[in-house]
Amino acid sequence: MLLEVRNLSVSYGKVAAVNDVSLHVEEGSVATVLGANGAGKTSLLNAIMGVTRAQGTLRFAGQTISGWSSARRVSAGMALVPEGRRILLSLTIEENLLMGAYQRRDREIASDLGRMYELFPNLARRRNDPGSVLSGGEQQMLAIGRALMARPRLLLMDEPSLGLSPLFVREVFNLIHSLNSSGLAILLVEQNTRMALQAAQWGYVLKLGRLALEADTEELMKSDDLARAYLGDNTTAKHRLHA
Amino acid sequence: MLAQQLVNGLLLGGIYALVALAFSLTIGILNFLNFSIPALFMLGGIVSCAMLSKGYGIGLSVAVALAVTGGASLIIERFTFRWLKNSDSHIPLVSSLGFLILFENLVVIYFGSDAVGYPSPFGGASIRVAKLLLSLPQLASFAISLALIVTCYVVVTRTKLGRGLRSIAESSVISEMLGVDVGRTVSGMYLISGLLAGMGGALFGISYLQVSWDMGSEVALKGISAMVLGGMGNIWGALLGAMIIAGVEVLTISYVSSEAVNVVVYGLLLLLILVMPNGLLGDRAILVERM
Repeated sequence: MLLEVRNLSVSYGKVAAVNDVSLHVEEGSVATVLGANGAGKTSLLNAIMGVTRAQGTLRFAGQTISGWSSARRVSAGMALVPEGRRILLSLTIEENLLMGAYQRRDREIASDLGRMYELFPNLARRRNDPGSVLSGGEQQMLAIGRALMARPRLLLMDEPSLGLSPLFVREVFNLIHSLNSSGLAILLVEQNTRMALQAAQWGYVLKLGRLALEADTEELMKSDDLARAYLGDNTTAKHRLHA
Repeated sequence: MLAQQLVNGLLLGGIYALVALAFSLTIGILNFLNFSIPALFMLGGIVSCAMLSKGYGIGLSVAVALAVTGGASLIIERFTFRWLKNSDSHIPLVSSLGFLILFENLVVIYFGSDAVGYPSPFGGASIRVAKLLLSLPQLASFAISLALIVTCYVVVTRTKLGRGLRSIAESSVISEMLGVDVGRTVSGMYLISGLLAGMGGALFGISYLQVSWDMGSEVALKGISAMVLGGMGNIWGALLGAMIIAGVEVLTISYVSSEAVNVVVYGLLLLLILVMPNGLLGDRAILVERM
């Protein structure tokens, strides 16, 4: 097991964004976390990456990493493609890619840079332009390339298809397929349920910070539990508010 | 003679530029006006002066002064940035002002409140080129200042540390997420700005042969003005602003009067800010574009 999250909770002040969530990602697999806006998906990923404080136990590649700095988690083999892409607009495209390799000390950074430019020819042409010249879709490619520059074993992706044209959405999911076929494990947070379920082998559904459902993605696609959990069973929501 | 005054202004400007750059780095990267920089400038002058008075060589004296200012800057970082980074943005500013007062008064206690002659081994050596009298220590100081500024520019724009710093300037959260050790990188920046300010103080002593506990405050005001004039956070802006401020200062002394210096310098600064609020080369341009 590559990533194991046990009883993870994240709260902002008194508001619990993630409540006692446990999940895992197998080596070389794609797992997806689905849920409506505000279900706690981004908080969950940020907590796994160590950007947000959290309670609970995190194990990655056989080590307990709860309490580790983000920098250390990056070195251990995690990289995040954050929500809204968050590329560094004042740095050039090449510098953005190099920032992904900030924790690396090896000599293969330059050759990995070349590989990213092969993968994303649009970025190669404008490598010395500031990140701000890119379109939304290209920024997403840059954010993915930047994360790959860390040579991760596990890629955390936070809504990579959000706000993209259908063409780029397809491209993002093709990329997820090909990255996964080359052995990279991916934890994918998505609102595009259909595409995410096709890409992943295992799915989790978050609702108001709690795990509402987890199953094999093929089962999830067939059952109507997903729709019920996803669209919000208002009675449970109300109960939670009163509790 | 105008040419002589302009040269004097240029040479003085090199020292202002070092101080302006020290301010500019913390403003550009942390958006924080570090008021302890004048104290580090002063320590650079006083410590190297004390070492020279005890008979140590100039190289060792300046090295010890830099070690003290670099170390002091790292201590200040603990109290202004690290412990207070989650507090209101005015708190680090007040804390850094506290360090300025603390260091100035420690120096008054140990070295007295009178200006002290700086026992530079070079004295006031000078050469004559055409009709210009050039002070050799001032020329050397200017060359060193310029070299440090260019080095800083290269570090910020071309190195991994520079990328990390510019990334933190844009977003410390994203930098952390990408694996930047934000605390260590910010410490590195404090070390650089402490060394720049300390070197400025030592060069001031070597150039003008006098140091005092309050030498930092005056120079720092000029340095801040130079930074604002050139464009905050912009390395070349700091240099350009420093040259203009020093030039105007020297010209005012010789053509108007020494009493009028501050009125003219800060009056001009006010006017220029009214016309160009972002400074001559643009606010925070260090972060946004390569020159």
